[in-house]
Amino acid sequence: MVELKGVHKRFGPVRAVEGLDLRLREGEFFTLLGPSGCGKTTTLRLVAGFEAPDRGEVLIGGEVVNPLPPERRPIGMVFQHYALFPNMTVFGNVAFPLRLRRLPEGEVRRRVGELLEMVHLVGLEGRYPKELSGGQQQRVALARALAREPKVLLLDEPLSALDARIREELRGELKRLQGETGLTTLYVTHDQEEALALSDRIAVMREGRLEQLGTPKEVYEEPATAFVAGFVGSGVLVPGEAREGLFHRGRAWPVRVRGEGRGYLLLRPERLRLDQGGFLEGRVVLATYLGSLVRLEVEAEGLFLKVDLPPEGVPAPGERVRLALPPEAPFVPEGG
Amino acid sequence: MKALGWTAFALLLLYLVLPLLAPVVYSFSRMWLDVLPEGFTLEWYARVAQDPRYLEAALLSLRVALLAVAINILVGVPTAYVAHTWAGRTGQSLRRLVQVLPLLVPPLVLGLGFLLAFNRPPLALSGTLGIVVLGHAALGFPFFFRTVYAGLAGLEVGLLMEAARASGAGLWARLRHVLLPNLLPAVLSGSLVVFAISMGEFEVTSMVAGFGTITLPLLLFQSLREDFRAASAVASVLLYVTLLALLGLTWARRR
Repeated sequence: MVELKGVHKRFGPVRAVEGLDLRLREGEFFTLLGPSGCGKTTTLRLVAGFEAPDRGEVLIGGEVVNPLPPERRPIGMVFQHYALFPNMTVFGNVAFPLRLRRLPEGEVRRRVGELLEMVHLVGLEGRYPKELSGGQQQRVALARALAREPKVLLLDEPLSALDARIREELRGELKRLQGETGLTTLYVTHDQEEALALSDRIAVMREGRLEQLGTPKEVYEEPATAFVAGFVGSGVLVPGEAREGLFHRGRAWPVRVRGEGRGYLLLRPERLRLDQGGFLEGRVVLATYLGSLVRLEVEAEGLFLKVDLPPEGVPAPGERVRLALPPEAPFVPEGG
Repeated sequence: MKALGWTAFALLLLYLVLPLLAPVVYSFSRMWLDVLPEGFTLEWYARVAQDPRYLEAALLSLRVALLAVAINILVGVPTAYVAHTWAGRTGQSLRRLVQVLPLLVPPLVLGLGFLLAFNRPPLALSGTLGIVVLGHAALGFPFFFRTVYAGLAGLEVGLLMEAARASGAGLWARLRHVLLPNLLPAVLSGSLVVFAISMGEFEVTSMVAGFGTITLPLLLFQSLREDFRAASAVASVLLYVTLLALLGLTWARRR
């Protein structure tokens, strides 16, 4: 549906995107995930047409769109800071793309009504953007982007300017809306939790290149590189070696791994348990109460491991504990 | 500290407000010999109103001011937009140049410059209405530019234009439906400043004007010698125009 073929883009000396190949499937929720400066926003802007690639092709719906300006590409876009037109009401903002297409006014009314119903803003038609909350403004922006009936919906960190509670609420709605409309969606975020919750597939980017492409489960459970392992989810990378299907650090650990040679074992906090007969012995350094769970930091064999526990009967800092390791865990080869 | 503040404020009243009020008071009175004037009258205003020279000059001033405003809108809005859009050093320098340069150049120098620059074909404008209008437009430009530029910056205009493009709007639609309506308050208040400056301008006008372009301030200066009373009435009228512009400005800013 959307395709990038060997796309390069530099800004002066900065290589924003380097030889990127991506292919979004029809109806897919596709996320570009990475830290700031990784090229994810540039990639989105290349698809939108706000930037032109130095090399390579951008295709939408099988058609090369390189020569087309944004206004002639079949896109809808939502920006981080809403970007609603302050001189227009909610109705006017959503109607804007429809009126540009010179639809008859009755049709415009009907379509705007439908769209506002979709984003739960019926009754606010006459308000101006400055009279709305951030969450409401972003809903208007979403309705405006959908009004154009685009082939692809582009979302540039649309939730990151919102409060935590509104963010989660709107996240759920975004997922629902995307499912209902079946619209191919390209989503940019630096928030790994958002990416995991929303996406069909995630492309983790780093320094203008693709680091890993996969489903949220794949990216979380089988990170291809130490960078992905560190960026997605929390966990501790334990340096060591994979030999004959087991992880070794000095001695063999009872953890099955895939791969061979030097690398890192990824120990996620939710996969470790306290157990009298556990393999590692350590001392609790810190216990942080997080409401639904308590996160312990345990020092064991020179490592600082994180363990998530239910909040009842948690050992206090200073106590000695034994940790049981998961029977198998992700292993990231060195240099990955 | 408080006493110092009040003293400073009193001094400010003395040298700022008193000279502004004096012609107004004078224009309404028959005699002013002691501390307070005597005999309220509208006679001087009536005299000015009946003299066709004043009406003619006032209409000319109005025409010049409106044309100076029009030129600033046509040139100043695109300049401000370009200066706002051009990031980096070129944009910065351009901005500083057009904002500050005309403010620092003494009007007399500017007047002389206009005389020299527009003195020969194809730009032989000396003594015409055109050169007066251009002079006033130049004097008002820094204020106009500053206001519109601030308006653009406050709007996040780049983002809005991108949102319009992503909605399918071409250049014309973006200008018409997004840029201009949102920029209108800033353009309006900039225009009012240009208008007020032009209505009261004397220095540049006195240098470049010909016999056919006697604006109200020029006529005022001439009539000071013959009829001080009428002159103070004219001066007061100019002050009223400025105050009206100021009121308009406040109204435009509030919106």
